[in-house]
Amino acid sequence: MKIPCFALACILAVILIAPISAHHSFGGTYDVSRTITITGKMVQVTLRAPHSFLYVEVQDPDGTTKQWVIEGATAAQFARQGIDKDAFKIGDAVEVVGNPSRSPNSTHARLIKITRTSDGKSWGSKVGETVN
Amino acid sequence: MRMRTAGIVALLALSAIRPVPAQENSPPDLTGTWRWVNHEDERDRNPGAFPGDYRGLPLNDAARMRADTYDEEINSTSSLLQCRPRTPGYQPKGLDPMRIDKVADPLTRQLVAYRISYEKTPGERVIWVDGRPSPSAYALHSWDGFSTGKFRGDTLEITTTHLKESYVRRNGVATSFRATVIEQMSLEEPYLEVTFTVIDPDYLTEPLVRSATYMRAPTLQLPPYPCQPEDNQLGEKYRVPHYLPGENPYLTESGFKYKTPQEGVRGGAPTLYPEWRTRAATLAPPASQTTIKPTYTDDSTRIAERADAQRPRPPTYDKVESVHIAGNVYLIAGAGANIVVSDGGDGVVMVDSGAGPATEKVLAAVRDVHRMLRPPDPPETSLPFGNTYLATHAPDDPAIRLIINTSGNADHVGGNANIRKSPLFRLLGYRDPSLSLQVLAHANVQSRMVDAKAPDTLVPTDTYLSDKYTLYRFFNNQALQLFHMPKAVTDGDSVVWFRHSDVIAAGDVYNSDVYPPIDVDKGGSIDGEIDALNKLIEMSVTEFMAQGGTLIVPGRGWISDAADVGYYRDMLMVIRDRIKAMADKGMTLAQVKAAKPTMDFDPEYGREPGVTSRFVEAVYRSLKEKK
Repeated sequence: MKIPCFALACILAVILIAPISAHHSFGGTYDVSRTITITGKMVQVTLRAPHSFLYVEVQDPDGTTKQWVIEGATAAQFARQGIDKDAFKIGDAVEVVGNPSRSPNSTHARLIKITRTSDGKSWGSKVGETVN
Repeated sequence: MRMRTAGIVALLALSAIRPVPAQENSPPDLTGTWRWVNHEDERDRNPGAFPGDYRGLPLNDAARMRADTYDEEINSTSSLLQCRPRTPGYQPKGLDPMRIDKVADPLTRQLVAYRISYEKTPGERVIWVDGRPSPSAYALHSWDGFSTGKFRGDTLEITTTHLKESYVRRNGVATSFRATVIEQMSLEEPYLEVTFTVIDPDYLTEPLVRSATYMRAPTLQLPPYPCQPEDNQLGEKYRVPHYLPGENPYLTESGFKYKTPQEGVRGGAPTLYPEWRTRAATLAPPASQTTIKPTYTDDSTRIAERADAQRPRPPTYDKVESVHIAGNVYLIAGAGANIVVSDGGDGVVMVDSGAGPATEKVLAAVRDVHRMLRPPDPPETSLPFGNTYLATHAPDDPAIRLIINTSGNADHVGGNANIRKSPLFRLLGYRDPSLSLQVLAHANVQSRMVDAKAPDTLVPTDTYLSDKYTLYRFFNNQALQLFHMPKAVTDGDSVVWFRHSDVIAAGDVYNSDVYPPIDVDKGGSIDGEIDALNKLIEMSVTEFMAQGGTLIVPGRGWISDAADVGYYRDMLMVIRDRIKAMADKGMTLAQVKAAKPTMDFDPEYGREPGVTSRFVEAVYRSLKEKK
């Protein structure tokens, strides 16, 4: 079946403008034009509204540890992407790709993609995104 | 004849089936579930407003400076802001679906209110349409505020006051707690058009008028909204992310990305009118994203100077009010510093006594409180030794048993002498009154007043020296605890916690609409003040989404909660950091004052003569003398 271009454009437009259930401004909090990668172990998973938080402990080369706060979607949106209470165990090694905070020296980031290192399973931050 | 009978029967039948007319002037039916239609200001929602983008906002320079130095990360780091609901001045720009219900008086069946539930707002907002008056100026401010509605034609016009501080855009453009919001709801089935106007004497030079559209969504069910605040700064001392003036690197980002002249991005009333397009055509957008050092010059930058120029008027205390707070605890306001009283079968305990000349009015207010109807306390399993009868059957005349002074400042202790002389002052305990508790305060209050040669009758008679003092027995079925706040406004400040009613009288440690009167010569300091506010917040719990729960009565201003105290603390931390940066550069006090480090907060907290100058000096001195 051939989908008319106009219809396709309409569908795409609806998908693209589907509102993110954001409470504060992601664009204001994080630099959405930059990405960083963080590797560490999961120390706390808080699935909640309006945004969820994943806490990742990262070891610096000098041996000190820092706690990164990774902010993501609301618990309901995470659930639709397959991130629920069973997705991570405390201590799981993870790799996070995210937008860094705009705030100087901050250890906060917005989640773009998270990978459980043990089996390579990944989750993306967009609704319905299948990464792996 | 037969035809005539048939005709009459037909007429009767017709009249029987005639529909019952709707009530005259019946308003349109706004009830139901509504979904927000996302077709206006899309970039405001996704990805969200960029820092420094004030397009379309008639803001003043104080608002600009506040937003220029704002860091949106505070919404993640502050547990009091993570779950902050939107106020009506921004709510229709959110994406929340809403449900509107009618509330009818069960007896008269007249419409008395509408209830509106938003997905991300606590409880249910009530729009009173029964003509009730506005609550006291000292009443609690909330995220929803106090709303009254009136139909003008088919449009419901809602006026909301008593709002908490909030924002009109999610990049730090603030709305003051003095703002009023007017909403107009018009039904154009299946759409509900909402025009909402923010009138803010502190941060806007003109009313900000915006609109939003909702669409009927009869099958939509509002989901629960369990917003659990997180402590994102585990193991760290609480910090407020913010930029020092002139250091925010993002203020040109929006103009650069959207190719808009920076003058337009900075907003302001002139940029809202069509004539500005001619000027805009002559301006170029920023060529790159650079850090700019804005200057602030409009009227809003001279609030403190104008306050200082006012001729001081002696207080008249002509409007002393009694306001119920919670349980058996009441506020008496307008007689100097706020007075908090607990009244019941055990008598009256007063926290602070107000200004001396206001005592007669204070005593009249105590009698008013005593006459106020109050439901009896429910049976309490946690009070096995409490005497419910005594607690709820007070004697005809109030008996003031004890005064507690939160500080030695004149408008807190000024009524001590007159109240002690009053026939209402009937002590508990010994025949020799000198053995009974009379006026209690921290020991430093007594010693400083004695050193200052204050009249004996004003000086507290009883003192405590520890961090915490718990009254020897429950009073009116609740514990009273005093907590010493060392080095806050002075070295003798106490806050008083009514445990069962969950009310804290904060004294001068917290004022809802004026800078704290930190007195460095009496042992006060900015860091001690911030520590005291943190302690107040730790002691408090909010009912839901940073609202209500523990009620905190300021030394001056309206009944508050932990979110209000959180805003106040954050404001002080930002100002402390700015003045510290200036002092670290070697700036003198005169130079710091000339740089106006509080300018963006002065519209809210600096409207009284001399307050801002004294506050800046106290912060500067306490930072300098700490070294």
